[in-house]
Amino acid sequence: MNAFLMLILFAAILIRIPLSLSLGFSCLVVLFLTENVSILIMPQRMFAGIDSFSLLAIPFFLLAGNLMTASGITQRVLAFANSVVGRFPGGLAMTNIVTNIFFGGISGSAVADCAAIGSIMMPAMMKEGYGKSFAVAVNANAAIVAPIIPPSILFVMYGVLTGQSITRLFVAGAVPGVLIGLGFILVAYFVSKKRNYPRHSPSSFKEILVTFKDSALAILMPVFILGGIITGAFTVTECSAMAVVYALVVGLFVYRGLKLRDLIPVIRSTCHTTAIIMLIVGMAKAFSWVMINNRLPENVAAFILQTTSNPVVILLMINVVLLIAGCFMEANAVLVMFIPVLYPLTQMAKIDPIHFGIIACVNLCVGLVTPPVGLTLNLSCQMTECKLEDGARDSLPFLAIGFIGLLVLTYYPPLSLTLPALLMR
Amino acid sequence: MQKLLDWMEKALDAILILMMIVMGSAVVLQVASRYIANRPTSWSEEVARYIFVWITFLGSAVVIRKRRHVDVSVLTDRLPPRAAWVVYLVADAAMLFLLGTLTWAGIGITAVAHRQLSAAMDLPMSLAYAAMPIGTGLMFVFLVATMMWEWKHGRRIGGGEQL
Repeated sequence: MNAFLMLILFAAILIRIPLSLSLGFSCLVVLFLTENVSILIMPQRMFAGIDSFSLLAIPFFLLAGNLMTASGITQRVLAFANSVVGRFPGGLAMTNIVTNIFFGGISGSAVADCAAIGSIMMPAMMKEGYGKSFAVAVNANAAIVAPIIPPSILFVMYGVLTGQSITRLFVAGAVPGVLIGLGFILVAYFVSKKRNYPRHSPSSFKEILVTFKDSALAILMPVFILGGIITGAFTVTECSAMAVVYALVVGLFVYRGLKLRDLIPVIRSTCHTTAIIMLIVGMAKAFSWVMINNRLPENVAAFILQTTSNPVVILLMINVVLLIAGCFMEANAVLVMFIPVLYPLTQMAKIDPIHFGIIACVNLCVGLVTPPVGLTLNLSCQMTECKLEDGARDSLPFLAIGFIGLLVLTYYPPLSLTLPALLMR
Repeated sequence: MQKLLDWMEKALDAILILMMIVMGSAVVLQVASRYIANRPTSWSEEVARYIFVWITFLGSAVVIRKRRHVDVSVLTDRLPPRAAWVVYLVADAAMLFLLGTLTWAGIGITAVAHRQLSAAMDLPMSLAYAAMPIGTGLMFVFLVATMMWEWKHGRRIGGGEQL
């Protein structure tokens, strides 16, 4: 029955039924064929999947990020990043990546950052003579650090699914996110040097200070967010709502780039994005109920533990499974579908749950660039009318860094676990 | 017909915006009541959660009108237009079947939930569950309207929205 479920899901996705409805449709068909189960279980599971106070952090972090973008902080952060790294070969490419690292601390969504930064940076890069495909590759790849650096929608999702502390996951993601970003900067440096991409004249220390002052309220936002939840002043959801208030105050009264009439389109588009994500979550919840009802997690665990109980091998297998799934599915959907199946297995193999959360989320972030459903790559290509194949080709060195980063994070847990151990008890 | 739906879409968007504002205010109020009034509110979390369910399903209805739910076009992009139309027809039929069934099942679960009271506010749970049949029902209507528009104009609306 599980094979049948997967088959229908795959067919439904291929004939272009939206992911959320594909999950729902395959779930429905299997439910009709299952005896002694009322169809009411489906809306019941969907409701249970969405009705969660912790998941409320998703729309709020999205809204805070969108408000910050609408208030024009992108240019401010860009100016600061450019004053620091613009002087190196491929300065603008590096600026893009550094901006994404900072933006990662403001919004929790790779696709939102990809659009906000890409709409300014990709035209600028092309104007300075970077090839279109390279501009696309830099933009699509740099955006994936956003959901690794806290706050992160994926960590919220993982925390809700496994009952692990979202705060701890946030803290654990900081170092891996920045490291992968630095890896991307190295790639940009070497590629730009080889292809002779331009550098900007170095900024004086004073210019760096001035641009920092102009963007400090945006750049320091993650410090407030993390501070609020590590000290226990706020829960993660409360903190996300306070981030909205912060973004409103900064946008309306400090930077003044945000006008009252901008609020309506920003809130509206946040509602739409929320609906898209949460419908996937609700449907995936019903889908995973069917998988669990058909004993898929036990069967998978039994099958794998029969062959090996070595965590090294198990993690490798899990990584391969998630990478393949990430090529075809949206990251949140993969989490909701696969974590209930894989998590029990990792617990039997005595893998730290926070460490596994980082692995799973970083893995799915790498999947954001891999075609055919590489959300950031597809979006960047659409924005510049670049061919997907060209963008994918120039993405290869960045993808390599992503894979290396994933491997290192998988097999060297201290990278993710040291910071939470230091900051939290 | 399309005019009526345009109007419905606008109305739904207005409701969504209002709901988002109330949802955010509820959580901010919860923080404020704990730190300033020193008396945490019990209803705020429940209000926010149930509104969240409503936003999900009403928003999904608005989003389906321009086919902005995330989808995958690797196969259909490579098909000749006529074949693609046939594939789309099958896909839409499957979607309508799902949405119709969900509306019906949603009414069922709402009826069951009507007899339960929410933990904090003592309101019938059907107030929250009703988001599902209403939302999926509206999705059904909007999808039919979109299909009719496409049939008349001979082209497909939009593609998947990037999240």
